[in-house]
Amino acid sequence: MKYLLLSLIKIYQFFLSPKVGIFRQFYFFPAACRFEESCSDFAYRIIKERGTLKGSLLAIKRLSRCHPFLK
Amino acid sequence: MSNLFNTYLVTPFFNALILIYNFLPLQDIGLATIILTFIIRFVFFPIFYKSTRQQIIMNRLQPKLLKIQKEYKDDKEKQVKAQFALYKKHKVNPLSGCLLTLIQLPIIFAVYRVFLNGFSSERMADLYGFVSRPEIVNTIFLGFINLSKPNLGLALISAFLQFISSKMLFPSSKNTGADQPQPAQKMTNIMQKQMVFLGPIMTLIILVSLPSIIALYWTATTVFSIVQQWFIQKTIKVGMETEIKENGGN
Repeated sequence: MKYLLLSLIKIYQFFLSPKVGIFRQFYFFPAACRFEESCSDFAYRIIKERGTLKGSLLAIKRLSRCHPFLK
Repeated sequence: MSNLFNTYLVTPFFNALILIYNFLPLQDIGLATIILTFIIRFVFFPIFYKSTRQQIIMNRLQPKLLKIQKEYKDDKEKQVKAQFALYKKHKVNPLSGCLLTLIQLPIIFAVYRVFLNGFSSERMADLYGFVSRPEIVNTIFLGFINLSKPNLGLALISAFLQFISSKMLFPSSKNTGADQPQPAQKMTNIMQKQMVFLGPIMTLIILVSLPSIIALYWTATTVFSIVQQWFIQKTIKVGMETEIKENGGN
């Protein structure tokens, strides 16, 4: 499960990520990370470190913070 | 769902493409593809430019935001207020986020779909009343590239442009102002370094078996993004230095 998630994140980054993915030039808006570390990099690291369940929760929490009023 | 997607996204783009094709003195679907791509990119260019600008300012404000967070640790309300004041002072409208990025995907996929669908007579049934139906669609680009078949040359050009674009976007020695790269930064850098070479290779693998009109669309988009990137790097970086200084610099 953990490796499935990690590979999915890598696949996302490789193709779709507006920051590094190969489809990046097709986006109409630039990559808009408000954090130093992009959400997918963070998700990858945290799932690797804390495991599937805890890591995923933290990653979702992080994603939900990606909006104008960071708390 | 797929019906909605076709009616409201694929069909309008298809009509736009044929409309451009009809207007061209030299009927060539390749030229129409390039023009449509550039029109779409130009329409979104002001937003792209503005967002990039804000992105750069936001990055510069990051240390201050962290300071505010520490200062008003126990008072969320004050913290939000202080952040707002900071945004206002630097004229940043913090309207961005990763979800905004993902809602663009259907549009991108729709344009891709138009080119993949091709120009059979069944497709022509999707034309609106005011778009006249071309007798035949000339898919021979510049008189010698058949865009309905794969083409190695165009795929290679796309891959090469992908490489140029990556090289521009991820300079090899990155100095973001931080004294030493944090582990997080390091991971992003590794990914970027890999993408400089893996990206073009994957581009080639994808495009080599698809109708080469996709490769042409890819090439046109990448060319635009390279010019856009060059323009942004040239104008924003310079303008920003003076603006930050004028705003007090701290």
